[in-house]
This record gives sequence, structure tokens and C-alpha cells, in this order.
Amino acid sequence: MSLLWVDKYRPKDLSTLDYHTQQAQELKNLVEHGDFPHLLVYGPSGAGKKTRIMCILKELFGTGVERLKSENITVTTPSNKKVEIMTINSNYHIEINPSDAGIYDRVVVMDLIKKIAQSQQIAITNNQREFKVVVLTEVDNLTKDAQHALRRTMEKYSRNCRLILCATSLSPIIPAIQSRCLPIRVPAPTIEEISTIISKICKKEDTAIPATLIEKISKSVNGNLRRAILICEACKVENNLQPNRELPEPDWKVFIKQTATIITHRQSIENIMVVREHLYELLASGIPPEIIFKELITALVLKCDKQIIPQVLQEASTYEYRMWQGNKHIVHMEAFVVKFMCLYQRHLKDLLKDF
Amino acid sequence: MKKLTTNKWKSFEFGPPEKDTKENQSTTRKLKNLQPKKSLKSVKGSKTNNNLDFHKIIEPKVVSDLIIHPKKVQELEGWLNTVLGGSKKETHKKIRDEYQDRVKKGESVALKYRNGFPIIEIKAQTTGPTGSGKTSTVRLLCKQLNVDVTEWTNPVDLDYEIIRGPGQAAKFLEFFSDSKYPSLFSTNKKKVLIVKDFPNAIVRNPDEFFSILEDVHFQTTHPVIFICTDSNSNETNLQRNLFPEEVLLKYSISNITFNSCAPTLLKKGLKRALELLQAYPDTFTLPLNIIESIIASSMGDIRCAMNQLYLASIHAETNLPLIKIIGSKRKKNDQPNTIKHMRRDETLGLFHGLGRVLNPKKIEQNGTWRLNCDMQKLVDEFTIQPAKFASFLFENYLKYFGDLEDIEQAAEILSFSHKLLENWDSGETLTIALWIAVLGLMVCNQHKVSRWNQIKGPKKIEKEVCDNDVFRLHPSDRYYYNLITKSDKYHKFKCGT
Repeated sequence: MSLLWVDKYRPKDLSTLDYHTQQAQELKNLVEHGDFPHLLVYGPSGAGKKTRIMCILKELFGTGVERLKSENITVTTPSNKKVEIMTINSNYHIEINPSDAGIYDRVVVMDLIKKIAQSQQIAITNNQREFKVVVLTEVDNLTKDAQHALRRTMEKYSRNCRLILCATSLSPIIPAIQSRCLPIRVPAPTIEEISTIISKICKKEDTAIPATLIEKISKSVNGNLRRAILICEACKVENNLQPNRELPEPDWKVFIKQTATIITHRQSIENIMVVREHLYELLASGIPPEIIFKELITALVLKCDKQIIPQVLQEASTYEYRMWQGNKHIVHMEAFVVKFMCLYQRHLKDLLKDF
Repeated sequence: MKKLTTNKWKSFEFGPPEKDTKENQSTTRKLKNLQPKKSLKSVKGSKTNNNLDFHKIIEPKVVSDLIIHPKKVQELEGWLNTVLGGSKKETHKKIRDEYQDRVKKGESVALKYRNGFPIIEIKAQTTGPTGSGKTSTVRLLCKQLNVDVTEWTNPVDLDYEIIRGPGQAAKFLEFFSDSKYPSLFSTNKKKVLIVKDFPNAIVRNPDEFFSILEDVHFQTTHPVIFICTDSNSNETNLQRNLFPEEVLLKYSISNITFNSCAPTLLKKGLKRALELLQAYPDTFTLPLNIIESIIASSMGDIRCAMNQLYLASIHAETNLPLIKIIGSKRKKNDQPNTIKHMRRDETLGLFHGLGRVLNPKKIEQNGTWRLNCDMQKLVDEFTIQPAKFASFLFENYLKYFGDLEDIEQAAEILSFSHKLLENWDSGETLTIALWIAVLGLMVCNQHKVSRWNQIKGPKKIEKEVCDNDVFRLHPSDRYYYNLITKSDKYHKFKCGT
């Protein structure tokens, strides 16, 4: 299968990065010095965090890091439960998404780092480092427990092992970890930067794409370069590059909008159950709960009367905060949905009373 | 004279001399089975009325005294007979035949030759709830069959162990290897080992137990009986942790399960106890009217029943406070009262508990209503973890509600209690959270819907991790992947209008 454009045109070197070139130069300097710190790369989704991490790794270890293989490892928790987690690794680094392990992320993080740090690199040649790198993605989803465990592990094994953490937001990460890492912010590219990159890719692909469509795509994605490239390729596959065409909207967004319609259509217990099924389906497909919540509120606010909007938003903030604190997201989402139904229904009744 | 004293000292050390001081010994041994707490008192064995031991009087003296179902006694006796056999030479062929029979039937028995004699090594494991008479039955049967009993007790000299010397597990193993030497005071060749106290080290680490079992399997010549008490909590469930199926098969351990004592048998036992007590009219009064209550409140626990009888029969306590049981649907009329102070802990199964919470019973009182339920008792009786129970409640509560506004409150309360449940590191918060969830659901349910509903288990959300690409796509971008590759590798939402 041919690669997606996203992967095909991903820059492989720090020198070939398209934007934030100043930062790329600084990273290059950082790698050249022998003392490499733990990194904490953060920034919005689709801004190029992972790309930069891979570039740094290549700069550190050479082309060897590009020989990747994926491997499933099993970690046994103290309660003898076996947790399987997928890793992507090369000879020099290993990448995991600890939030895949759910509440067992602490065990996974500690076990893995211990395992890596125990085996030292042998035969250190000129450009080989004496440490390995562990890349942890979606660190902002790590439980507090795991973060505290990480703090200790980071210091203990810093001789043989460096960490590169990747997160969208710094706020869920405890200060203790932030202060142990060199933070690197990767801001989203501007609309112009996205446009340039898209046109560059299209040129390489021999695809004639109207400038207005490029602009439309760049504006619609909210700084998410990956999504821009995906949409662009999707348009190409559909063989529809008309400048005034509709951009494809993800099915989950449509799905959430439909859920909102169900909520406003009729307020009943049966409908609560239907909404619950919908929310379960969304969660199961891996859409982050905060995005579901956000999309749902956006859709609901559009449908309800201006008078109750402040109240709705206040309730939403309460439940969203509760959702962040725990990992039973569905309970809080449903509580919000029920609350909204009641507010909406009461408002409708009030309106009818006036007549 | 000198010899006698040393003899006594030794008897304390090595276990009971069977023949010499038979009366004394048998009492001290058997006392444990009914009431361990009283054993201190009884060791003194004085004959004055002040130190009269209630449990000594009423303990079963012969097998026929036991209030265990005769079939169960037969089962255990049959097992003991097979294992101990008659004379070894005579039974040589018999055992082999039986062995082959058993193999045909699918049972596995380890047959081994040692010193020219086949020895069937069977270990039995008796299980049953507390106070169902496991230990008493084994002891009395052994006495009847004239078999020595050696019991393992956990060593108590903890300090010594911490400083140096073998740990509990090592001592446990030693107990088995020592058992092949016959007692100096007994001419009896037959012997049964009983393990009732399991060393803590082993309970925590079942693997260690398995290796000990492996050693025991080859070392001991005597049958071993493990006595496990049923337990609700996972951690102390000896039967499940220490005797999983494969272990039972591997070492050919037969399993004899005891049930709680049936009310009729318990009644028989209590009556027998009362008859025996008639001999001591100046110490005990006979509370005849209370037997039914004792049976009801002990819930088949013989030990508990006897303790209650003890309490009831002491002179000072003439009237025990009774609780009137809230009548259940089946036997409203003949439900006897239970004794207030001596109720055994009741436990509620998951479904029963859910039913109580989701179908709250209410009583009207002067225009207001109250929940007809002892909340403290209800929450205490749940055996399941609070978080699990709360998620069960969440999964099922909708169907039992009849009004949207009720649900609004209930959902709010559930959300709040789930927030508290996140603090799982402190146990007390969990209980409070469970309280909030339970009470909230019961109080808010003003328009109850009574119909049969299927209980659903909490849904497990398992993320789709089916990605072998090096750069994993964000789940929100998977739609484009489907679009570009024209595949449906990822989940598609049905967006029909």
C-alpha cells in the first residue's frame, strides 16, 4: 500500500523542516552538545511535534532510527493482570503511548523504562550515544499516579536513558515533571505556511489544485497541518478539485451533531438511553472525551434559545471539569445531557405559558 | 517420678500422648473445634463449677452426636478408609484394583511404590462456610477410626523469625517432613495431618505453596487434610488461591465440601445440648423458648448457634433482646425473631443489592415518606467494590426511573459520587461515595417504574488499537484515512438522517 501523503512528505531532517526554522537550528545545536536533556515537546495537534521528535532522534543516532518495527510487549501488574501494549522501536529508541494501558499506565511506564535502562549500549562508536531514548506520547493523559512514578524513574535512570515526552497541553502535567525536562513548544503553523506546504506537496504529486481550494482547506483546519494534508488527499482521491466544493466533514462530527438533534428533538428517558449508546460508540472509537464534549456543546448551543445559553455553559463547565478529573467520562457526559434536557424542557414550558 | 515429669513436658512439645492421658488430651484437642477462645480456660481443666466449660459439656463425643448430614460424614469416612486402608499387604491388590477402577472413572489417584508397598497418596481438602463443623467431623472420625491427628499451628514466635531462623514457610515444610516419624507416645501407626491455619506467607504467595505441595507430595507418607473456610473477599479466598483446579488434579486432592448446617439438624443439636445442660441446673437455666430465634439468627453457623445458646443460658441474662424480622414475602408468619446482639454478618449478592437500591421501598408517615430500609445495614452488606457497584448502578438506573426531573437529580448525584470515587487511594472516601450514590438513587426515585429489567454489566470501553502504521493517526483523523484508502479499516459511524 502506498504511503499517505502525510507520511510520504514528512520531513526527515531538522534541516528540511518547513517552518519554525529558527527552532530547528536550536535543536540541532542542542543535539551537537553531548549533554542531552529530557525533552518535553508540546503544542497543538497536527503542528508537527512527532515529526520534530523523529528528526531529533535521527540527528542523535543517525539513519538507524528509521528502521522501525512495532512490537507488542506485556507487562504484569502487581495484581497479576497482564497488560499488553504496542510499542514502536528501533535499536536506539522505543515509543509507547502509555495511555493505551488505561489505569495501569504507571506499571507500564516504570517497567518499560527499567527494562530499557538496564541494558547498556555497547560498542560506542563515534556517533553513538551512551543512552537510549524513550518516547512517551500523550503524556497529558497519564494518571497522576504514573506521573509521580515517572518523576522518580527519570532521575534514577538518567544515565542510560533519556525521555522525550509529547503532549498537547502542559496543564495536566505535574510541575515536578515539567521542571525536569527542557520544554519545547511547537506552535501551530500559520495559514500561509499551511498553504505553502500544500501547494508544494501538490506540485510533487503532479496535482493541479486551485489556490482558492488550498486557502479554503488551510483556513478550515485550525492550524492542524496533518488534517489539511489529509483533506487535500481526500479531495484528490474523490477526483473533485473544484474550488467551490464542500470539504469532507469527519463522520464523528456529523454523528455528534445528530446526537444533539436527538437531545433537542424530544426530552425523554428513551432518548437518554439512545444518547448514551451514541456516546459509548464515540468513546469506543477513540475520540477523546473532551473533544466529544466540546463538539456536543457547540452543537447544542446553536440549537437552543439565547436565554438559557449562560446556564447551559455553566453546567457544562462543571461537568467538564469533573470529567477531566476522573476516567469514567460517560457518567459526567450523561449527567450534562440530562441537565440540558431539563433546562431545555423547562424553558419551552415557560415559553408556552406566556401564550 | 522423674520420668513422669519429663513425659509430661515432652507431651507438651511433641503432641498428644494418646494412651496415657487419653481423657485430658482428647478434651484439649477437641475443644478447639467448637470454641477456640475458650481453650485457655479449658486447659486448666478444673472441675469446680466456676470454671465449668460450656463448650466442653456440649461438644459432640461420638460421630453420631455430630449434626452434620450423615451422607457427608460417610463421604469423609469413606475417604479416610480408602486412604488409610486396612493392613497394607491385604489391601495391596485391592488398592490397585480400586486405582484402576478410578482411572477408568476418570479420577486420578497417584499410586506409588515405597518399600515394596503401594501407598496411595491422596490429600483431601475440605471446604465450607464458617461453623459448618468441618474440623469437628474430621477429628471425631479420626478418633472413631483410631487414627492419630497432627495439626499444624502457625508459629507465634515472630521476633525470632524476623531476626533469623527459618520463615513460616520453611517451618511449614518441616512440619510435613517431620510427620513421617511416629509419635513416641503412640503405638498407632495411622496418622492424619491436618492443616487448618495456613501460614500467612503462603496465603500471600500461592506459588510458594505450590512448591511446598510438590515437596509434600513426595515426602509424606500420611494423608493430609487441608481445611479451608469459605470467604467472600478475594484476598482470603483460600480455596481459589491455593487450590486451583490444576493443583487439585496434579496432586490428586479430593475435595469434600461442607454446607452450612441445616435448620433441622441445628435444632437437633441444640436440643441435645439442652439435654446435656440439664445436668448443671445451678449454672445454667434452660431457655427453651429461644431455640427458634437462635436457629434463625445463626444462619447455619453451628459455632455461632452454640455461642448464642451459651449467652442465653447463663442465669443473669434472662431476656435477650430480640429483633422482629421484617417479613419477607415467602414466610411472613412463621419467621422467628432473631437475637439482637448475636447476628451473623449478612451479605447481599450483587443482584440483590442492586434490586434493593433501584427498587426502593417507602413508607408514608404523616404526609411525608421515609425509606423503609436500614441504610447502614444495606451499604455494609454489599460485598462488591464501591466503584464497581456504582458503575453497575449507573448502567442500570435509567430503566427504573419514571420521570425526567428525577433523573436529572440522580444523574447529578451519580456524577458527583463518581468524582469522589476517583480518590481511590483512601478507602473512606469510597464508602462515602457509595453512600451518596445509593442514597441519591433511592431518594430521587419518586416515580418508580416497577417492571422486570435485565441488569446490564458496566460497559468496558476498549480503544481501537489496530494500527501498525509507524505514525499513528489521531482517532479524529481516521475518517480521512477511510476516505483516502477507500477502506473501512476504522469504525464508521452511521450517519443516516
